[in-house]
Amino acid sequence: MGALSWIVVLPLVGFLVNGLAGNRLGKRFVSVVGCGLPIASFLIAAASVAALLANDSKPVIDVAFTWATFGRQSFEIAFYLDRLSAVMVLVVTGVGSLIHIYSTGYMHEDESYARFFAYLNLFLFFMLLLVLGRSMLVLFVGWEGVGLASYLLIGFWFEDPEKAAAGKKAFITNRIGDAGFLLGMFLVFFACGTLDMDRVNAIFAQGVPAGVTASVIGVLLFIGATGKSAQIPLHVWLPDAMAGPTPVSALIHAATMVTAGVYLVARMSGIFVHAEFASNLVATIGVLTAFFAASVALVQTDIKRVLAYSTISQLGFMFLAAGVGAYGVAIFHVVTHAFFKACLFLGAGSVIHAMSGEQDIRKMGALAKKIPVTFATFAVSTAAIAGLPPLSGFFSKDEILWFAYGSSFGGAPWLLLLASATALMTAFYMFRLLWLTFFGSPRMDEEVAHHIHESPWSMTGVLVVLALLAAFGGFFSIPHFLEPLLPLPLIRPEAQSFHGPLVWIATGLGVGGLLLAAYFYANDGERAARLKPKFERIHKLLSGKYYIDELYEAVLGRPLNWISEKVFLRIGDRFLIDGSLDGLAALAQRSAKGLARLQTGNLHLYTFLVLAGLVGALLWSWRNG
Amino acid sequence: MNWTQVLVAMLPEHLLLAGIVMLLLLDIASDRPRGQLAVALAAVIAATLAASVLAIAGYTAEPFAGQLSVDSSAFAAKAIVLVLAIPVLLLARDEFPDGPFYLLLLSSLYGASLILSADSFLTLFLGLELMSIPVYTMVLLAMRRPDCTEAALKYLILGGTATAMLLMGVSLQFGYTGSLQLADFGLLLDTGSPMAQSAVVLVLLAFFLKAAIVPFHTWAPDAYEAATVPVTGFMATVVKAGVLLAAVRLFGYESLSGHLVELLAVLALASIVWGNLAAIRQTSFRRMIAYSSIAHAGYLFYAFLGDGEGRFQAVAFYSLVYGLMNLLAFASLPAAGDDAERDRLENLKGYYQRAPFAAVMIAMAMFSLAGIPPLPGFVAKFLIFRNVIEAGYTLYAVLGLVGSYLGIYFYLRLVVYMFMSPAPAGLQPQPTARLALGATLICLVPTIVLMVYPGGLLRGL
Amino acid sequence: MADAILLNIVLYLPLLGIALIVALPEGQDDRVRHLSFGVMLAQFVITAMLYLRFDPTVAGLQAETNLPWIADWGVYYRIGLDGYNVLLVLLTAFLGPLVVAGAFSAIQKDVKLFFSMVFFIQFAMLGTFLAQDLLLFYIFWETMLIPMFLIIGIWGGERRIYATVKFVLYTAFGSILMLAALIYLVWSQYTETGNLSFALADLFGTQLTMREQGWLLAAFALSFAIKVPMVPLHTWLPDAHVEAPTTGSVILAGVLLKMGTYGFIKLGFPLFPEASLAAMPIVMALAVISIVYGACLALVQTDIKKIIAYSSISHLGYVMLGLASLDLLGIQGAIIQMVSHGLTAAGLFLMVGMIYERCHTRDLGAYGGLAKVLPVYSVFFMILTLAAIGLPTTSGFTGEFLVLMGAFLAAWPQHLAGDSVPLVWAVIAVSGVVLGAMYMLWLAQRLLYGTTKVPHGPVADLNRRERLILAALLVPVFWIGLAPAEPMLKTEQAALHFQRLVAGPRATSSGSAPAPVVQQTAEATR
Repeated sequence: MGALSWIVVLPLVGFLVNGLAGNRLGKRFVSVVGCGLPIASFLIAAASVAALLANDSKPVIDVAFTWATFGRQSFEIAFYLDRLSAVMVLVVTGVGSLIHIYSTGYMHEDESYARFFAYLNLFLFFMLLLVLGRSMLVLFVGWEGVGLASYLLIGFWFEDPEKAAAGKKAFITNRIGDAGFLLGMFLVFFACGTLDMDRVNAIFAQGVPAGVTASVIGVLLFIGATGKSAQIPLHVWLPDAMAGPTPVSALIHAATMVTAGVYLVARMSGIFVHAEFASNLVATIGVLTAFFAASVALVQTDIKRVLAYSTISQLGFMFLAAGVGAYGVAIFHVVTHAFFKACLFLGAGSVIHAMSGEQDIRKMGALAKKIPVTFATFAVSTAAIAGLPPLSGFFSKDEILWFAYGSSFGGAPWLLLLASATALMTAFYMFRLLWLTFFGSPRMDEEVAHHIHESPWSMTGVLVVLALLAAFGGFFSIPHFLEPLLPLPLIRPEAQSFHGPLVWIATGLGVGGLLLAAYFYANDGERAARLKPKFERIHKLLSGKYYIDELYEAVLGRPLNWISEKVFLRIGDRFLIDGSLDGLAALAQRSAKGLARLQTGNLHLYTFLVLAGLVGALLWSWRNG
Repeated sequence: MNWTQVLVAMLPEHLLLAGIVMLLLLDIASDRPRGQLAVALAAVIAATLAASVLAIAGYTAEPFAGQLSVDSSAFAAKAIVLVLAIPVLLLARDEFPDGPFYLLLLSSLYGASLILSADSFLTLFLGLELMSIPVYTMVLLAMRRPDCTEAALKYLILGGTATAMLLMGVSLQFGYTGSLQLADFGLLLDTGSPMAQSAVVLVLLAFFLKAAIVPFHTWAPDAYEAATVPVTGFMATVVKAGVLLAAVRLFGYESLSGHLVELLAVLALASIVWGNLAAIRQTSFRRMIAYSSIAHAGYLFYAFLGDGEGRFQAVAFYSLVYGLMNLLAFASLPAAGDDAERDRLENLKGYYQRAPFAAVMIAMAMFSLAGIPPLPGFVAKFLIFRNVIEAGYTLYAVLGLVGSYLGIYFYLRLVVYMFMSPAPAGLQPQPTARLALGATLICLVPTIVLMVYPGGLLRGL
Repeated sequence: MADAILLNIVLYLPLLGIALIVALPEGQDDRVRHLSFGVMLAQFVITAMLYLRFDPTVAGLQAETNLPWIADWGVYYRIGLDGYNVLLVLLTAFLGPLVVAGAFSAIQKDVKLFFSMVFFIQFAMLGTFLAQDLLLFYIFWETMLIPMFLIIGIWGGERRIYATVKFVLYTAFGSILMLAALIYLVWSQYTETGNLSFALADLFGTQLTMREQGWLLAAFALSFAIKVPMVPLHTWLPDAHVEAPTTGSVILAGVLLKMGTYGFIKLGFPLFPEASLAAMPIVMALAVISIVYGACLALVQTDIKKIIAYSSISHLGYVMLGLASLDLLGIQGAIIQMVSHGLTAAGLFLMVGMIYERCHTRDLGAYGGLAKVLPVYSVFFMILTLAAIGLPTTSGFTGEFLVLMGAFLAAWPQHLAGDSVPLVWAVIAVSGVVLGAMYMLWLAQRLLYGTTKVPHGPVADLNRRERLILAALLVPVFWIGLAPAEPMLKTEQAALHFQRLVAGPRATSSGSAPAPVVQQTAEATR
């Protein structure tokens, strides 16, 4: 059991301690354990990564134990550290620890404080399994585990049936994806006889094994990814997931878990580079999701929902990058996104905290002065996500746009077009959010206004750190860092010249969004309000999220229940099976009655029967005797 | 003729005879005779022991050449018939404190053991009648209800028909072969001539009627219901065993063929199905048992589809187990004053609450009759169907098994009554008489033995 | 030798238990309870010892006893442990004490008879698993009917008599035909070899025409499929479960249903390999139908017990799928899945019983938000639920994962060979994991979350006895979930044996998948 195992295990310890004894040990102790252990595993992680780099990036393999053996094969529980998992593990433990610290402030008043930290630690444990697992099996264990953690945390305030339902929805939607993942995994095992991803990549590096096609595997794995990373058509759970406490939204539904799908694609790049079709699918779904989600975010009024849709949209960007073979860039965006989106969510949390629970941005405004730190950090991150240089978002997004257009591996103008439109919308709705929340005139009622206050240092401090990361995180070029592992695709010759202009376009999109938002939402967005009636239809469609939930309910949910209830239960079980059995029973009863009635006690009848039997028997025996 | 042979070979019969004489003397001696039960019991037990010992010793002899001979299987058969009579006697005490019952029972037993070593139709006929006629009277003796007479009369008349058929068959055989030897009966089986065929059929039907096989079963339900417990028990167990074992002796190890097989299988199957179905809706315990006995007669005759030693083994084992189970149930019935009352199935509701031990006994008997393992009834049934399948009649076997499946329900119904239904109002727990308890134990012990180690007995048969 | 004696002790301890509690004077119910628990515990301890001493490398029987019983027809009292039954025996013995402890407070009527019947059925079930002689197996198999009939019929709910009679008649019909079939099988083996024997070992590889095999397999399969139960022979199960007392349901779900799947893997398929091989597509289809059908029906139930009952149908579908795959992984998974379902379903039924004792209703509509008032209960219920839907780290995952993988690995080559039907079934089966999550989480949500509704409340949370029962139950759940290597090793020989017998030459086992090339490339990457 090496260092890697410890990185994973420590949060589990935290979960067990807080889960079993938390309520008895008091909040202080819970906080120490709950934050201490993640920080500890962050430090170990940092050390291991340092060691990795010092050892010219020779992957570290840490076999914990053998899960199962059969015949000559065996499934090992092993951890694997290379540059890719290094990046992920640092983000997970780093941002994770920060959010833990933030939570000590945010959840301080909650009576199930211990339970919350237990769940957070549990999540961290599974997330680390996911990013550090060497075998797809371990990855899948983490994969399902984070799903569980998110289920528990979304439904954290389970008294509210809405929230509980949201958790269930998230879990089940994820399960649909997992089904695809499972199939993909089986196929990989069939092809390679192993689930260790480094081996799998190595095998595929020598060409696609017989009996399988890379694209089938790719598509199946991507189905899994769409579930976990909320891409069309399985994105529906993420907006509802905002029912969970805000730190959860920041940690799980923005920074880490939802990016697992991207990580999977990058980790399995060995397969995807052979999977032309699958990759194109990834890019297409990615860019469509990005566009779709951004358009919905334009009209959302719940601060967290705006962020949720923006998350979906940003994830779309990442898949776009991965789809065109720029895996390093995708991971780059994962990292920067983790920084600024975490900061945004936590900022939103701080806002909600200040607004004593209010989440509707129409009821906010003019908070900039009341909660300056929150405002400052929120503004920086907004700028970052909008892609204003030189903030982190700018670098990653610019690279995505670049490869979406220039990659010789499926890059195309229309991808660039949609992506740019999305980038514009992103900037727009983010600044809209900023304006409505922090500028203009206060629209909250007196009571709330009276209570507005800046959050404790435990929260603001975290915000500042994240803001700094969001600001400068982009200067560390992760694609370059990952290049030895995930080489970037070649650039189509005709696109070579376009790189310079694109930088300006990207910048322009950010600034454009900013200006538009400023124009429409200055003085409480009365221009926007005037605009609204003109686009009634579209507005309804967007605020109705394209009615996809309703669609699923109508096409899947209700029919399933109908067929189960009416066909299977009524017709199948009750009518066909039990019905016929009861029929047989009744038949037996009836014949019993008949036979009993034959026993009249009438001697003539008896003797007649005897004689009849006699004659019959004789005749029978004489037949051609 | 060798007198010691005569003495030893017919020792069981002699002992029974001694008992009969004793009873007669007692009767003459005093007008209110006592201890008849003791005498009868002593005689039967002695006879049983004698038969078993001789069976184990494998004693073989032919005291009356051509008429009567004994070997171990004959003795085994007698032992089975006789041992079943012991619990019957114990049950009889409450019903018949005195009177000719014991006399009749012993003489009937005498007849039963006679047919089991008969070599010629003369002896067979003699024994058969000697066995049956007392039973008619016994049914009458149980004068509890007016319909007893009616039932007895029906039984008598139909029994007469059986006798007639038997005689007819025998005379046909005599005409065809010029001999009355049972051994020659075997010859008739293979010949195709209508005369021989009819001889066989008539004899077979006579046995069918005695054993209550559909459509010759009609006397059974009435007679069983009318007679009181010990008499019913006697008819259902001793008489049935006697008839069947006699049939085995008659058909020997010959394998049947052609029409006879069809006749046998079809009628046996018919009585299995009929009996099991008709039993479902009965409200009288004894009537239900009557129908179950019709079904079981069907299984027993199924054994004749198979040939060889298996046939005797199956029939012997089956009739023993079947008898034990019936008597176990009869012995554990609640001892209500009024006979008709005692006979109502309703009375068994909530029986477990009133008399746990007795209820468990009846339940055992029912499960066993239903043929559910581990109770010996299963092994018995297994034995029979094994023979049938081994003889190649797989289809008949499957049909028979399905028929037996129909029976499970009404046996379960009784258990439901006893364990799962609330007791009907106004019922006081009556302790079953001590002798009845004795009878229970006498049935229970061998049951358990047969359950744990059936192999032992089977090696003997 | 010593093991053989121990094994017999294990088998007959229940009868001793019956003797002891019957010997106790009336009106000492608590002593009856504790005595029963003690005996069961002893049984488990001995079984655990035997399990540990079980040598996974040996293919044949271990701790074997072989005595003539009805020697004239070659029926022997032959019992022993092998890879097929070792886990199930352990499971049965493990659940024994928990079942008894679970019934402490629930059963107040006819306590003696009740625990006698529990012992009786324990005896019958162990015997069924241990028997290595066909007739002995059949006898134990049928014997089980009597105690179950009484347990459901005496201590059950309102419609208990209907349910219990239905149960017996359903099951008995199957076995009636099985009896004919086994006699026929033995007889033809006798006429072939001249050696009359009911010993399973002798009966494998009996020469039969395809037609004979078909009929015999049908007869055996009918009786096993009813017990499993496989759709469309399942309708006895929901009634039996709903009407049975908690103990009855626990025994049913925990062990009894496994007798059916065990019958398939131990006898049904291996005795008639060609016919089985031919029938596998049908078996696979029925298995997958059971998975989906059961899950769908579980979706629309409102009686907690019914939901879990239908979920059992679905879960045992996985077992059958694993067997039908004839892939080493699938078979291993099937065995694991049997045990796993035994644990989770037993646990869930126990928990339903616990809440029923408190609130006297199983109607889901009456409940809500228990997590608020019964936190401990809710935690246990949640864990069991997640185990039931096969969340990783629990036994349910191990079973489902291996089964599905096996099914897929068996189906894919056939797909490449042009026959895509198995693949379709495998894919549908995978969708079962979604349905499973749907109905179980729906159940958990309605029961534990939302606004608090407690019929006949307020009620106390789990007491120490109940916590201990459930905690004990979770140990193997996580054991098999986290480190199944050890139990899988114990069953591997059996799985290989089964595969060899049924699949014969066609045995394409994922276990022997070509690994070398992978190895070296892996080295290259290090």
